[in-house]
Amino acid sequence: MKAPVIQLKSALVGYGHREGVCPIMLPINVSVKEGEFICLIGENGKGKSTVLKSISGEIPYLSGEVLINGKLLPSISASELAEQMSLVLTDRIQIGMITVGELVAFGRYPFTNWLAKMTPLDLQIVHDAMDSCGVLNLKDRYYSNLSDGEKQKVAIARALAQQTPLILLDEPLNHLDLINKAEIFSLLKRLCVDFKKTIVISTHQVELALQAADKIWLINGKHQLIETTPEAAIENHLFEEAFISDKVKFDPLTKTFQLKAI
Amino acid sequence: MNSNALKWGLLIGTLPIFIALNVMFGSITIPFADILSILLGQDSTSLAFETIIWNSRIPRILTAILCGAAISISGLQMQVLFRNPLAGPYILGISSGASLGISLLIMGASFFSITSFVYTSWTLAIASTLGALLVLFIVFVISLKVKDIMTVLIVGIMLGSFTTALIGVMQYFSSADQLKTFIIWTMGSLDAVNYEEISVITLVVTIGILIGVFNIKALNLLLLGEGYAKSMGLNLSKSRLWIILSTGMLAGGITAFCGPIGFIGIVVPHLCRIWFKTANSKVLFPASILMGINFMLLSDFIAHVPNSDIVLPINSVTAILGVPIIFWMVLGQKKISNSI
Repeated sequence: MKAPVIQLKSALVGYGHREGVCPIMLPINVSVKEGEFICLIGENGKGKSTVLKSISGEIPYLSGEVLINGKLLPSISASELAEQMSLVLTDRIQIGMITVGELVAFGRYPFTNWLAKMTPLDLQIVHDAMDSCGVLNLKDRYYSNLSDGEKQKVAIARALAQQTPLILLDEPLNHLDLINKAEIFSLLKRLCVDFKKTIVISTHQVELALQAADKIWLINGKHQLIETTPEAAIENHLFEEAFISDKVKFDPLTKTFQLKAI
Repeated sequence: MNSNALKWGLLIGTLPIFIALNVMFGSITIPFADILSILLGQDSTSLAFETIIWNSRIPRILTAILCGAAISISGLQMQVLFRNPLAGPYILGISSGASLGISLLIMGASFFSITSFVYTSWTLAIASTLGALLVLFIVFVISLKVKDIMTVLIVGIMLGSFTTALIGVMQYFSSADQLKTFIIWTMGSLDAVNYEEISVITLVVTIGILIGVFNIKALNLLLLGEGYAKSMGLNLSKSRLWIILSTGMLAGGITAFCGPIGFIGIVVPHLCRIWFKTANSKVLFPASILMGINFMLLSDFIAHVPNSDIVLPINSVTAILGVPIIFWMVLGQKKISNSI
């Protein structure tokens, strides 16, 4: 049997200090299969980014186990990890005078020689990645001149060019308008279905997540990360528990958040 | 693609022109026929002409070539490493470290009552190298411990300020002659470098540039930011060390023999970015080498005002020549800060 793409066993995530460790939520137990589209949902400051960074190896987890394709995370070298997992980070890429084509081609760098020479196969992969993300027509434009939505699609194309089975995206929908959010969401879903990519994104778009996600990772008010499906989350009133406010409540019928009083 | 070929052609084509200008013109007017016969190894009308060509002009041209390439490449690497358009070869305090070494040699000599001290280019080179190595070593150790690259930048700048303050104290207590010797060193000079020294510079610069070539891939990945670079398998601390090492060798090696050659390290990479309209290091690396050499040869030609005894400080010439070009190019651009 194939090992799960991502597996967290009693993993404690948070930050280490000189005085000791500072976990920010209860131990996490999740398992992700190939081709699954996972949406990580939770309020600001509840630790979505910390979970993703612990899976991507950017920060060390405190205890327990994080396994990528069955291998314990700290034992995977950076170059090995680059072949298994690609990232789309929250921090905007500040880059001037680099074309979309060049930026997407950077995704091939882990596989090129010391001079980063592109083979015809590399160029084909870059071309296909741009095509899949609908940015092929932007190939010769400077990345810095693009709109936010276009930039995000290019960032995803770069991750796709890395040809990793797993892609992590940290709040890829921030600052995007409704149409762009929907386009990115359906693009990611398509990558899961068509290319068997495993994708984990953190997002605040609960409504969209409920329609597209295979699984929801919900961080609730009790600092638990709950692995669930969209249907189960609604049935068990998990969103009502996770988002407690006197201004807004989740309506299970319409699967949307409604203002309580204006 | 065609316009790029033209640009490369221009960069390469101007090289022999500037070299020829530097051979042909200088303080002493040498007839063209004599220059040709000297270069071809035949007899000329005066032995002095031969000495001038072989022992003054040719070494100067070689130094200018090494210097232009080395300083531009170290500037390019620093700008990308720190993601800062104002970074240059001396941002890590190499020049102030070298200056400290020099001022200790020049001004400190009197403290130890060494009155009849001879300043050869070798003692100057050793003093500046030791000073630069000291500062670079501190930056090196800190960059191993510190994760945030901006902290490294601040440490470099602060070390620079600290050594400059030490130099200030020494200057206050030194004589007018010592001050003049020091100030002239800071103006930079491509003269008085002999073949023996050139062979040392050549070795150091060649190794520095070779390391730089190996850094090109890392430089491009760093354009995306450290988070992305790491996610694509780049070992951040290792590549950071190689970049600092290359810069240290290039800027340190030149500074040891020519003094802190200012301006072109910051400016040449920008000129190449604006001209080639790219931030891709694969293009900028060779372009900066060629542009730097051209710039240095032209500056040196102007510094030795043809047919006169005047030799201008090279640092003043590079700035006076470069600033108008920069204004002209930058004002035509919308966002220079966004170009890296």
